Amino acid sequence: MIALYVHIPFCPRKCKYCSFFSVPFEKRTAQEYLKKLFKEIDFWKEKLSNEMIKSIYIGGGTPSIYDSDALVSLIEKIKKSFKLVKEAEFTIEANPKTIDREKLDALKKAGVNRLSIGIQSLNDRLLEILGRAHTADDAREALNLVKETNFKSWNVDLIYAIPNQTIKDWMETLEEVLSCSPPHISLYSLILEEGTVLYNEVKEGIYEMPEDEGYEMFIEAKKLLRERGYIHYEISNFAREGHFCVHNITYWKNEPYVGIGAGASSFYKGWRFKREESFEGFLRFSEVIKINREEEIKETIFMNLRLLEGIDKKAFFKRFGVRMEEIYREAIEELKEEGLLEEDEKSIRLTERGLLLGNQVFEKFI
Amino acid sequence: MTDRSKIRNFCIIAHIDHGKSTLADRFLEITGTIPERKMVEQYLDMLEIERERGITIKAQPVRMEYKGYVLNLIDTPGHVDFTYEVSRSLAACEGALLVVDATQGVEAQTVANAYLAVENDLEVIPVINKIDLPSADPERVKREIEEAIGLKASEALLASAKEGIGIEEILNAVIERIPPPKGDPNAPLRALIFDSIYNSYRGVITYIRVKDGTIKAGQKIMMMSTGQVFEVEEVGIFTPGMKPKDELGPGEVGYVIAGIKDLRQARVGDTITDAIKPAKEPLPGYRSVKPVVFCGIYPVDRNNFEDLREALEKLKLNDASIQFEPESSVALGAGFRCGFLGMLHMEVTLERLRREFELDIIATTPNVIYRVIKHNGETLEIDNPAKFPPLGEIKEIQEPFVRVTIFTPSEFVGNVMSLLQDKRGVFKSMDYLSPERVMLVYEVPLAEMIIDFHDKLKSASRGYASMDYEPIGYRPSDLVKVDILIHYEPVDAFSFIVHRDKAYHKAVSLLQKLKEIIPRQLFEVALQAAIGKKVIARVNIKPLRKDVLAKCYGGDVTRKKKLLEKQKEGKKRMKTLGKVNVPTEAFLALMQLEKE
Repeated sequence: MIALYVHIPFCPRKCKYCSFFSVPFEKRTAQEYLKKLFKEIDFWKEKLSNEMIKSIYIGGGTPSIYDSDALVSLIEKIKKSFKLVKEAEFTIEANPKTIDREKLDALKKAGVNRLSIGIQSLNDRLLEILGRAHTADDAREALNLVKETNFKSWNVDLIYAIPNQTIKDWMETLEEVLSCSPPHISLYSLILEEGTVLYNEVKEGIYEMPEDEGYEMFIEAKKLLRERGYIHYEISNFAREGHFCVHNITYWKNEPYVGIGAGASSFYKGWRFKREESFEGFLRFSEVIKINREEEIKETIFMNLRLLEGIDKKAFFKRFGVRMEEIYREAIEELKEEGLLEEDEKSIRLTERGLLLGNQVFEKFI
Repeated sequence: MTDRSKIRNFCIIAHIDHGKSTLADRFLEITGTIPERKMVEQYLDMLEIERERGITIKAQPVRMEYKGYVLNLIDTPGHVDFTYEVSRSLAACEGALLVVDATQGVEAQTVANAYLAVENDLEVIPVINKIDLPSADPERVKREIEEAIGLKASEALLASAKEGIGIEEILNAVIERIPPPKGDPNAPLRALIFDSIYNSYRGVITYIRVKDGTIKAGQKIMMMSTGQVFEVEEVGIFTPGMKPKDELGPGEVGYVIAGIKDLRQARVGDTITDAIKPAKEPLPGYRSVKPVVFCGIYPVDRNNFEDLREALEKLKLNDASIQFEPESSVALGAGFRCGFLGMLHMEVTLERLRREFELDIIATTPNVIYRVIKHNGETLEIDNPAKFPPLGEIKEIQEPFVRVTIFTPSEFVGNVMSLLQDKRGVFKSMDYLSPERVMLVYEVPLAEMIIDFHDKLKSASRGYASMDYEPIGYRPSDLVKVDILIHYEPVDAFSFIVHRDKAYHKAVSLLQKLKEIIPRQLFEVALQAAIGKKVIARVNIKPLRKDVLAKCYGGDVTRKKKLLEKQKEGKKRMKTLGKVNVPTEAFLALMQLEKE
């Protein structure tokens, strides 16, 4: 069983923190891109004819920037071309100002059962700093639309540790989002990526990245989410029972997935490869790497530790024929001593402290 | 043997950038020594690093033939670190060209070397260069030469080496005004070593100026300072490539190859004599050069200790003035304490270790040799702050002082004086050479000079001031040793010696700097500065509480892995002190601090 990702690289405009492959929406390019996607789906159709697809994720960019007809045709194309398991998770990403009732209904009707909406903040001042293409009111409207469409599951993306953000700003946004009771919520700490507009602004001293506030914000948010019945199941992800994201768990467990579209990554039959981040060449692969067992072990560990349940010792042994606690005894003991890892007979996992210092843990296994 | 009356031995004294190398190039061209098309720009400066920095360290002599005369040009090092080498090069000559930039005027270094030339009884011919430039002011420069050096400037020659103006006149003056060498061909051999280099095929090649007697292949020779005897394999001249000759007689400049394996056996300033019929007295002026600036050099990766040793040994083959001996630091492991003639000498050496030997090294902040007098009367010479005896045993600390001579345009006198004040300088004198230029003399602790005095002087005077200094011995100072503790453990490599009045300020600045450089750790790290057991300053580095990549870029695990690998690589380049990871830049913090 594999997961399938489809990348849509268009946005109303590029956010200042974004380092994904995305460009401002332009109708003709977008139409041609869709054609290319269809071709690529055809390319994979035969190759994946023996694979069952457990999840589909149309991400971006802003997939919802296409009109309903285009999106429905893409969804139909995917459904027709691959074998989906029963009740396969089918997610599409959307951003405020690119959706309306009609579009959401059409998506739902076409088979989308999970919607992920990029809210990021409900504070106009902070949305401005992030360079988002919408206001707080636009985001509120989108939230309500998604809620009312009654998808089987849905997610809200939020960003914290934004320059000039106070804990009060953050908790207000979170409270307001929770009042719509989304089944799934992702909290991403703002990461400055080299080459982005925000990166340069911080470098020039226009904004200052918060240091310890990010820690406080996460701790406070986590407390509130737990009170409201959300389960913290991955470093940045919270969900109600039964709403864990099947598609993302595939990444975290380092299981196979195929990515379609410009810049999309795949991990399939022991190979990692990526489509070029361009329109001319996106049918070409770049970064084709054969993952040997040793590399796969490393990757599995640092990805799987992101999940709070941690690494299942039995499953690990079954997959690799060696015991993690044997190859990494020294590192594990050291990290346990630091209070970053914990271990019992069933699993090895990050502690509460370790969740926040993941990079310090992961590097020991690289 | 060349007829002595047809030989002229001379050198060029000039400030950096005043055109010495260009002038030498013109001589080579005009005398046909090197055809124009074969000229590598500024032939005499050979080492790559020297070329980049526009300085010459090693003197490379050349023999030219012009109008029936043999002209030996002996190049001289152009930096204050190498004053002794300069004096030996001068001692090999009868005359010197004093080259002064017509747009800049006389500089401190030029004056110092011109004095050296006069002391060595050289005929000094002033040459005012760059007269083609619009801002040239030869009349002012002439006045300065008279005022500062006391030479008759009416005889100064005007030239532009770049444009080829006045070159023949200079060569004619060399022939007419510089006396031919003296010397007795029948007296016992006496030849002055003014340089020596190491060649991996031929061993040590010694550059000599014969004063008396003759030297030829097969002859047994003796180094007069050590009594060591060698057999001459080859003698020859520089054209500028090495060209063997049957013998060299009085007044001649050339080289000797004599199966010498180590540069220390052919020291600059020593006298070569005949082993069987030795001279009674060596030539005057020999002394063994002692390093004045010291620092620790350590491999970043402890496994590279042997590579570092090999590299230093190879460098020493070419530069006898480098000293090193193994030392070990609690913080940095095994390395070497190295001694240099000055800061530039140190910087060039570090650069060569990094560039030519591709070594990843940490150099600790340089220091001078301190003299510590203990209560029990014992006197210690200490080249490493970490080796200071405990506070209670110290009766007095002395440090080396130098007399600094500075030439500056008068408008910057205020800036320059406050810089010297800041460097604990003691005012000695101030003289106006002209209404626009001032000569200042101060006595300053050498320790205050070694890090970046030159750069600071330049910025205090918009680049116009120049300086020279000479040692004047040790004096007592109210010095203290400040130790730095990282997480309650003293780190020897950070210890420094400082005047008591400056201790607190410097300690706080260093701790702040370290706080910026040392990344947050998993626990709170205390940084402290202490004199003896007394902590005088403290800052804390807050613990790292959050460090995790938030987003998985659409399954781009490779990118994530690269980030983690980069992070891990960064840690590998750090030194672990106790439990604290310290980046290697931290060891340069003290030096950076001085430069700010």
